[in-house]
Amino acid sequence: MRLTIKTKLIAVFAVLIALLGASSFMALKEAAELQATLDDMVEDTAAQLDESLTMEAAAATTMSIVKSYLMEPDDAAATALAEEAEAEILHVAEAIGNMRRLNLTETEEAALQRFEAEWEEFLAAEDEIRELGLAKTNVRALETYQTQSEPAYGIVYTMVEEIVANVRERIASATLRDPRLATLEENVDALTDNLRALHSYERDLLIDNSAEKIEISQAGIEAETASLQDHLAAAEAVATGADRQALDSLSVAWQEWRELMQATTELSVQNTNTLASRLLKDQLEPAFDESFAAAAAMATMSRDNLGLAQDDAHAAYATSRNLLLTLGAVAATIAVVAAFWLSTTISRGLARAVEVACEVARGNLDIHAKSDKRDEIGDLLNAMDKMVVDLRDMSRAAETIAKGDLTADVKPRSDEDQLGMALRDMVVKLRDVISNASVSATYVAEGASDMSATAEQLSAGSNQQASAAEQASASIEEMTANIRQNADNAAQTEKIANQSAEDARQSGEAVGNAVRAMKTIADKINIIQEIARQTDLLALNAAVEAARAGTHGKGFAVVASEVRKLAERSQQAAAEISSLSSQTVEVSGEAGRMLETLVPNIQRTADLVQEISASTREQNVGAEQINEAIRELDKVIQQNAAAAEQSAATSQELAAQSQQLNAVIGYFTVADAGRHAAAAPRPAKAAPSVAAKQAPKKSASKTVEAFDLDLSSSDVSDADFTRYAG
Amino acid sequence: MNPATQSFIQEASEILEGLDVTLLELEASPTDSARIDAVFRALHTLKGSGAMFGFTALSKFLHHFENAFDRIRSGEGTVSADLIQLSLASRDHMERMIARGPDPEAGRPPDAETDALVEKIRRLVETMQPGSAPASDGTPTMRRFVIDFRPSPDAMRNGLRPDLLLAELADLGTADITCLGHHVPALEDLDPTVCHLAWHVVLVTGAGRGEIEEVFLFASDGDLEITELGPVGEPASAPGSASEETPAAPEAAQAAEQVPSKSTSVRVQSHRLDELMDQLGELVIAQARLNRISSDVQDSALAGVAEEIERLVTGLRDATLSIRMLPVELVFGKFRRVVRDLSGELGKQVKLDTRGGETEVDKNVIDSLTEPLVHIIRNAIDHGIESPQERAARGKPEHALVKMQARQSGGEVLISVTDDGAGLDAEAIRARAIERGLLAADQEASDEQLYNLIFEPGFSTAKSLSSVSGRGVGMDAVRRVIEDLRGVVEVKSRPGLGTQVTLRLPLTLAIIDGLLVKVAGVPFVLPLSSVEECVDLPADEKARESGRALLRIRDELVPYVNLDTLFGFDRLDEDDRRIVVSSVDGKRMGLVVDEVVGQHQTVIKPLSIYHRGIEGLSGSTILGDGSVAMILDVTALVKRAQAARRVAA
Amino acid sequence: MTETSEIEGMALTFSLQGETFAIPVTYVDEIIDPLPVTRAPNADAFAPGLINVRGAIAPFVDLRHRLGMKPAGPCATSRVLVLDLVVGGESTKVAMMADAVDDITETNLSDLEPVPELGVRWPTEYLKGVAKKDGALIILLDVEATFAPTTSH
Repeated sequence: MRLTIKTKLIAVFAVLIALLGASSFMALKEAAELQATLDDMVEDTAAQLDESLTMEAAAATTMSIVKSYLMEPDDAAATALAEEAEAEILHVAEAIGNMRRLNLTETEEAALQRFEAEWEEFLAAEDEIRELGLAKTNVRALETYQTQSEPAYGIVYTMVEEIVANVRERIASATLRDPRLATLEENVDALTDNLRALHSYERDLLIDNSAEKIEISQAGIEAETASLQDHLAAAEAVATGADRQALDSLSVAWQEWRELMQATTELSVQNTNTLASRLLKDQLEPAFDESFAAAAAMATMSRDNLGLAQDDAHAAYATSRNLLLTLGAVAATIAVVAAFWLSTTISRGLARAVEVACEVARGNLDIHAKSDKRDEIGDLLNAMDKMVVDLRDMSRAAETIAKGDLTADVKPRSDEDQLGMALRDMVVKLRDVISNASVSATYVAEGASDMSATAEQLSAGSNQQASAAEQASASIEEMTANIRQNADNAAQTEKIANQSAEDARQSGEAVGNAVRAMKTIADKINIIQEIARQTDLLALNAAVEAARAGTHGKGFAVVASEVRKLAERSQQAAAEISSLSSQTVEVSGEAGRMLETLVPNIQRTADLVQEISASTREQNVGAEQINEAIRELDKVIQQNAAAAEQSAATSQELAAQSQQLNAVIGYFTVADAGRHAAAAPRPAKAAPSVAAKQAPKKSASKTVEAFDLDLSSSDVSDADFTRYAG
Repeated sequence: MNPATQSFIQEASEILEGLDVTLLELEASPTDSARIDAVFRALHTLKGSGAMFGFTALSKFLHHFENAFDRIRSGEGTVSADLIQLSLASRDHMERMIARGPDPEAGRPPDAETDALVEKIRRLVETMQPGSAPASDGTPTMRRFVIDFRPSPDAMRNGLRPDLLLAELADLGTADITCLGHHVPALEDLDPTVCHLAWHVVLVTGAGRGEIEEVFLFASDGDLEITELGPVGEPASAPGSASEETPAAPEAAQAAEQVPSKSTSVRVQSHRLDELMDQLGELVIAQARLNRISSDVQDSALAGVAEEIERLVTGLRDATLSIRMLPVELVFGKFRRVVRDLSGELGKQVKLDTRGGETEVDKNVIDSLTEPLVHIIRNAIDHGIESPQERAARGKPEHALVKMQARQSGGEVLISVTDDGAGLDAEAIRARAIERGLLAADQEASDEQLYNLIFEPGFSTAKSLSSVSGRGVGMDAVRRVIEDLRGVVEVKSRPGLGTQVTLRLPLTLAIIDGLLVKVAGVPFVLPLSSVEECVDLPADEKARESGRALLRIRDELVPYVNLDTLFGFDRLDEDDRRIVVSSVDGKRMGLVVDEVVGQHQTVIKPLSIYHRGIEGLSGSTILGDGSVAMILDVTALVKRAQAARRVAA
Repeated sequence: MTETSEIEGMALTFSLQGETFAIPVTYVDEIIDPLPVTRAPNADAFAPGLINVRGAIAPFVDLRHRLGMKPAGPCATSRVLVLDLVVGGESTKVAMMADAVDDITETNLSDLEPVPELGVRWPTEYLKGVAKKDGALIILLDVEATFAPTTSH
């Protein structure tokens, strides 16, 4: 069976994927279990714990509130506290309700029921206590006593005291002992004692609230009341007049007090506070302790459950981890073995293939690559073996061609066999080329002899050119000398012209300065004139002054008039100078103007001469260039002559080479041999003309002599040339 | 007590103080005629001014006293110890009399002390022996004076000739003259026109101190110290006759010098004040030039100095002007007497009521004011107020009332004299005017125009208005004086009710704050006191040549006039012409000018006779650049403009 | 009083429009160069302006106008004569322009010829007389009349 590498790979991966799938499934399953356990734990157990704690707390709060309202003296506050207690009780009930809704185990259910039972008991006791606690009879009794009973007693007592005092006075004052009065005194006195006893009992009731004491006091009150009634009745019986009235009012007061006392007594007898505390101690507190314990137990239970759930979760985690580790190890082992097996198989086959390929590359075609393997590597080696065999065939064909045998026929193995086809084409082309080369060599030999003749003609023409150039060069030389002379002359003229222009300008400036100086002089003369004028004015004023001074001023007047004359004369002289200087200014101005027109003319001449000089210089440069060009020309002509000789020599060489070529081509064996031998004798024809050319070549370099091309020379004729087609 | 009386008392106590000293000196040298003269003059002055200010009893008392010294002066008596004793006692009595104030109108009852003193003097005069009079016998006591004289540095420039002074001094007696040259500076610092010299003269002469001082009268701006060393044993060889009356001024000055601690005021000769004013005027002009140069040069340091100087000059000007300012009461005070005398003379009962005497006016104005006011008051009492009979017939109060009022209004002082007399008779004036050819017979003239005719020269209304003749008072003189003071006289009258003559005078004559403007390139100065504000002339008003030219300035229509048109100048092609709004008698009027240059302290120079008649010009001044500007009289200009407008309308 | 007469005999001659005039030198204060004249508004044509003569303001009078000559501006030789006059009872300085100031000459009153009635171009009321000097005619002005303010103002 053929077991390919593909098949092996598929098998190995399939096994690995199966193992992976199994382990993943396991892990998921375990995780789900773990999840469920955790949910349980969180939802139920935690809620249980929560609720039981709530119950615990609410119960404790209720208890404390109950204690508070028991302690509270004020009714309203107590009632408010009682309501608070009610609210707490409701909290507990609510918690119980919540608890019931949870999934409870049996033990939990039992614990809850126990709590409920205890709580019912607590509530019952609390109800009882509340009634008693809120009644507060002892407090009220004390109140009644203090506010009403005590004053009433005071009234009664005072009345009695008065009566007694009254009676006793009368007895004392009576000379004669009146028995009625004595009786009265006696009874009233007893009555007083009764009152005191009653008051004392009443107070006892308020103070002591134990049951037996209350009984004793009650009994005492009843006895004393009866005794008092008796004594009162007796006193009334003997009393007369005022006494009678006093007693009546006493009776009324007594009745009043009695009622109050009875009320106090009743309240005291009820004794609710004592009862309530007792109930609290005897019933409520045990009930509370029980229910609190039940709640605490529930809480503990919940905590235990929580622990258990945690343990379950831990266990589940451990199991799934072990399973997964095992599966992983198995999968890894399988993978390693399969990988090793596959890699060795592949590498061994490929190494063989590489070895074969390297040998072929080196050119060794004697190698065998055959393999009996039945996989892809085996196929590869067999294919390579076939390739080596084919290559061996090709090399044999090429060897034949190399031996010059172009007749060998190469057949390509297929249309894609480029090497084969190339060998075949090469043989065909070589055949073609060789025959063409043979024909061409013949033609070359012929051309070379023709070229040799042309070169000789060329050489002769060159010599003629050289002599003409020589002549032109001489005449140009002469012309250049003339032009240079011209340029020199022009430059000199230019210099002179510039000098003239400069001189003229300086003259103009000098004239200008003269004019300015003249103007300054005129200004100064003006000042002198002004001074003269002022002097004139001064002299005039002096003359006026002198004239006004009369004879004293006469001498001065003369001086003044002399000064005036002098001033006038200087004024006149100044005026003359002024006019002269203005004339001078005018003349100088004219000269200046003329010079000013002269200067530009001279300047213009100088500029023109400068232009001539410049163009002459340019001519000189041109002539030099022409001279240079002719010298260049001469050089070229001589080079041409040399080149012509060179080409004649070369053409002879060419003819010799073409003969050698024909000999070489003869190596190849082609089907129509003999065609290439036709042009072989030709190079000999051109040889004599080369010798003829040697003589003029030497003279051409010295003096160029003209020579005629002898086209009608008889030793070369058209008939000597054979025309070939192509 | 009014200022005039106060000033008299001050003057009198100074004279008495001097009298004390002089009398004691006279006791030492009883024959000193100069001393006798001095005493006589002092008594004379006191007598005269005392009478003027209502110290009639004092005046009478002094008459006897003066009489005694007059006799001694004329050689009819000699100075005796008794006389000196009596004089000193009298002097003390005079002091008391002055202290009790002017006499009441009804006069003072005679008192025993006065009578006793008078009796003593009379007896002394009667027993006076002629023959030993000092003036005539020509043997004055020779005394030695030491005179230190240092002329002011400017003295020579002012034409002082110290040589002549010294020669004159030598003429008085034997003079030993030493020239003190130690103040003469080195030659290169010497200004030859400044006087650097001083002289120390020991003079032995029979002449008195007064004569020596007279020699130096015109060199009074120099330092002069005259010390008397006492009489010389030997009599001198008659240097000359007894002195003439020496001017009172140096005497008074001497008296003031001798008791400097008693007086808080200094008397200054008024011509010195005028000099000061002139100098100040020049200073103001020079300062204006400095300002101009400083604004051209634009050098901040110079500008600072120029500003400082401007400030100082302004302060100096104000201080100087305030020195010159005196209360009008000084003039008014004189008229109580005048009115009293005149009414008595004319048999009319007139009461004078003066108000606003505390108003201050320039001294020159005060000085010139008395004369015209006398004319006006005389005219009022003489011609205006009716005789008591007439007044009774017209039901007017028996006492006529003449009111003199002064008040300041802007830069002017208005002084009015109002009487409750008959008023001016317009018809009489008209008739007189036609008679004098001032008015054509058929010419229409308003009352106001007629009233103003009384100011025409030689227009006396005496004949037609008053039976009192020979006292014709030319009101033209009043007008001339007032106009010389750059003032205006106005007269208003209501027939049967009275006449009011108002003098409108400038506060000062010398310098005014002016606003410099240009009209057609010519500078003019407007008195700043009459300028209210300057505003631009709106463009649409510029083209207007005539017609009703009114401009709305802050909801008020203000008429305006083109000054160039008014002056007959060619209109300049000025773009930003301005209107200077001025106020005359509460009426606003705009004056269109080409340019407002700015404020300018203007020293007023009077116009020459050629230009004085031109309406609207009140003076001329020199500007900082030396050119001349004319000062405009806004009141006259406005009147002229209004007249022109009326004509145009 | 020979001195006085001699002084009176001295006269300053000046020209106006080619004519030589003379005024007694006693009236002449000084001669100065022409100065700017400030025009006075509505002034008499004879005294058209004011001039600043060394810090004093003097009226500027136009003699040409008074003598009926054509008005002319100042020329190179023009001078201003400052005169000390008594006009209308007031002593005042007056400035006037002359085309040229010529000289100071002695003119004897006795040499004066009366102004010829005919052939005189100038109003005779302003002329005092005519004198001959070196063949030239000098017209002596009557100063008081010449410089009197125009009355018909």
